Amino acid sequence: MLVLLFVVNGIASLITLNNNRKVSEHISKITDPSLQSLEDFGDLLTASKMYTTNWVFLRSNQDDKDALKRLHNIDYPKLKVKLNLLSGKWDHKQMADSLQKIYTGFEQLLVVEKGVMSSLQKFEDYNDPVAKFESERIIEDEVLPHTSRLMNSLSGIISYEQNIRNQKNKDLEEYSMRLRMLISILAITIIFLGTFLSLYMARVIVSPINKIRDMVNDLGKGIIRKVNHKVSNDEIGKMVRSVNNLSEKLQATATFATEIGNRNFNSYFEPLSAEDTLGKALIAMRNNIKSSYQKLNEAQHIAKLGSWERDVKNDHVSLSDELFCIFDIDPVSFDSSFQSILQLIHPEDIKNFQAIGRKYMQDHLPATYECRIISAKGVTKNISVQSKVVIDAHGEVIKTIGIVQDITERKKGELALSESQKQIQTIFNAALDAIVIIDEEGKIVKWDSKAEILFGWKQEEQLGMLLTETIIPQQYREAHRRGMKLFLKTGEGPILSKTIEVRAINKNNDEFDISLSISPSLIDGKHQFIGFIRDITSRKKAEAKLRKSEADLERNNRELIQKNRDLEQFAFAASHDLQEPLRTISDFVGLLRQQYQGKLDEKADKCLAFIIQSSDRMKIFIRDLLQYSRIGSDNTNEQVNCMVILDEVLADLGKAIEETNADIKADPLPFISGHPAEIKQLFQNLIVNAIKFRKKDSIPKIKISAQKKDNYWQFTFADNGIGIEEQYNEKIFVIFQRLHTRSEYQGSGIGLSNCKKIVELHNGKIWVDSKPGEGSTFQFTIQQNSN
Amino acid sequence: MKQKLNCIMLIDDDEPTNFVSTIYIEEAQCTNHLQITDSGQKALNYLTNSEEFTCDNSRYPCPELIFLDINMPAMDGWEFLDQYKQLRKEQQGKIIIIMLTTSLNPDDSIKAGKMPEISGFAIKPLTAELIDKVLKEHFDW
Repeated sequence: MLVLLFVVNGIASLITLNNNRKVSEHISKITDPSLQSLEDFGDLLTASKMYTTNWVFLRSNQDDKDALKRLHNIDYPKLKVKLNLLSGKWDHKQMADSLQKIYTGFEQLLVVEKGVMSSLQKFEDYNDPVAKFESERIIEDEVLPHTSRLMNSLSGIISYEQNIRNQKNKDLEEYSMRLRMLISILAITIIFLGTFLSLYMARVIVSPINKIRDMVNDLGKGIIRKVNHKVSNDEIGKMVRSVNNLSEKLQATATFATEIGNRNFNSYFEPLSAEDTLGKALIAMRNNIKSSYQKLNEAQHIAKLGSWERDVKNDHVSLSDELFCIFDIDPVSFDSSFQSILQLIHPEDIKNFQAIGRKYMQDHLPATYECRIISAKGVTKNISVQSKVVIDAHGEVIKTIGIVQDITERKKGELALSESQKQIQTIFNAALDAIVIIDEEGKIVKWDSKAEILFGWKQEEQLGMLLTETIIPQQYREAHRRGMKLFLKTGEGPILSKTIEVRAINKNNDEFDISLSISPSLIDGKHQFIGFIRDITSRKKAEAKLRKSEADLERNNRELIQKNRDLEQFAFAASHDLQEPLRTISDFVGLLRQQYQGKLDEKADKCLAFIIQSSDRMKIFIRDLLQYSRIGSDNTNEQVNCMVILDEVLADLGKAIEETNADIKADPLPFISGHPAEIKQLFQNLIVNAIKFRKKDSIPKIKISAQKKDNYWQFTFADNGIGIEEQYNEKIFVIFQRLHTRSEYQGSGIGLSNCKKIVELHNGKIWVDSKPGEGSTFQFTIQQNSN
Repeated sequence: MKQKLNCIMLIDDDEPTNFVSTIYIEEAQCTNHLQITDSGQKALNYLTNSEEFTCDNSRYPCPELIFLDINMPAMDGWEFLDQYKQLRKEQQGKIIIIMLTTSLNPDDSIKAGKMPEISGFAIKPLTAELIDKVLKEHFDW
């Protein structure tokens, strides 16, 4: 648009200038010379009139006569040529025509003048009055008026040309004016446009550039931000986009750098391009720091050493990884406040901890101290702390930094050491042993209070004495001296580092038994011998006593076995021998009843019945007792098929089973190793009991089974009988113990004790589980290989 | 005047023994009522009027004298005494207990001597002389 404006303006100016130039050229080349020539023509007219007049009237004026001749012959033709050239270019043809008429009139005048001249050619011609007069009259009548007329015509042309010239000048002025106008308009337009453009530029270019400049300045200061400008599609827009892109990339780099600073070594970052030196350097730096940090962490972990930094003003505490470990704090949930750290300090140490803190915050001197913490997991730990403050230019504390070391183990060690020292002292004090220490020469260097009690000598009596002169009996002294010499020579001693039993003497010169342990030790390059001495007199006595009672026990045991054997023999003999008189009684009472039954009174009959009953019972008792005493007398062991045994028993008990309708069921039973007759008796007793102690109103049911256990069989005889109260579970297995009166249930009270004896002889156990009214379950075990 | 006892109790599981004892006690004519119980548990039931003896006192008068057998099935004499000591005072009454036994074991008589509840210890069978001696000693006969 601007260009168009300039072009239009230029064309206008050029046209104007061209017009101007044409006008000027017209004026200078045509108008002005024409005017000059026309005036010259006037002058020439005047000169011709004047010279002609002079020709007539001034006879002697040769100059003028020459001038007139020149005018006629040279000047006028010359001028005419000139004027014709000019008049040919005149705009108005009538003026040229007018000029042509003037030429014609003048040329006629010239002819007249020539007549004059020729009449008055010579000096003597003037003397001719006629000629002269004629000439004068021609002047008067022809030349002068003719010249005047020509002059008037010429003046008309001149004034016309002058008008044209004036007109042209006016045009010229007008063109100039127009040019000025154009220039002014152009200038104003340029000013206006310039202002507009500058404002536009300011808005479109300068503002974003300023923003970019500010942003770049900020970048220079390390502040990374974006240019907040509407991104247009022009160059500025591209520039803003590029700068923002730069900012973004820088931000990514800065973020990465920040992450490194925050020890987050795993944040993702890629160099912005292959030429991104900073990015690559950052990654290299990250890797180096990470490696160093890991090494540091490892080192800290090994040393159990953590570090911290506390920003006092912002109450921000940062901890190293190991310190998080020591405090058992989860780094993620840690709120970075100092208060959170304070809460970990052991309540008993918090006062001291805070006092130390106040002190170094005031005097700014490094502090080293120990305290206890209760870690976030509740573990009490000992820590050693080294603190240091960082102050600013005004001497104010801005940071505290320091290291923390977990010294729990060391403390435990120290504690254990001091404990063990205490323990040693306690052991010394509490030891039953007297402690005596001698040096290389055998001189006593320590004689403790127990030794004082044991031997009767006080420490002050014994220190420096030779052992061989005090507690060692005469007969051992030489051996002791030899032993000492041997040890000093070879470092060996047959009695060292073990407990021996020897004799010693006390202040009263009584010999007694002691136990003695000697430990050699090297103190300051010299040997010492620590002796632990114990009075074993009472132990020796007790040992003698023990030996005696052991012998007694053995003898008693032998006697017991013998007595047991005798007893069994007795029971066998007694029951065997009792049978004979009993049979006699039984026979005779039977005879008596046969003879006198019903012949005496009722009481007598009852007495007889009781006697018979009792003798029958006695028979059973004796039989059972005999049987009981016989159990185990036969040691033969063989494979017993329990199924066969059970069949035999059931056959034997056929009658009772039939009478009671007993329902006896048995699972398959195993082969066992044992005594067949005894096993049979065991089975029989249990089945008989189950039938005998049935409930009055129901059929007896018996279930027999056997179960294989680790290395034995467990047999079960379960019935639905009357059951047994739990309190009698043991008693029923004791011989002669009965739970019922004879009127209720017959029996000698031997059956189950038989069973117990048989089972125990087969290395088993027998027991009962029962509920009164519901039934009993007898169970016994038989070892697979019982002997 | 010889005052008859209100009730004598025999505790023994052996029927012949009880038969003999009954004959001698009846002959002595020393009691209005003779109660025979063949087990310790039944005797306790009698004394506490429970189980089969649940009734008023008039029918089952409290015995003044008990002859107690040691060797009985289920609850023996000693166990009976243990249970007897657990009874309430009014159930225990003022009973003279004589222990009767066939036991030849001297430990039993020593053990009986240590128990204040036992007034006497005798070897079976119960005889007229023994009844006479007991009555004289304990009941002003």
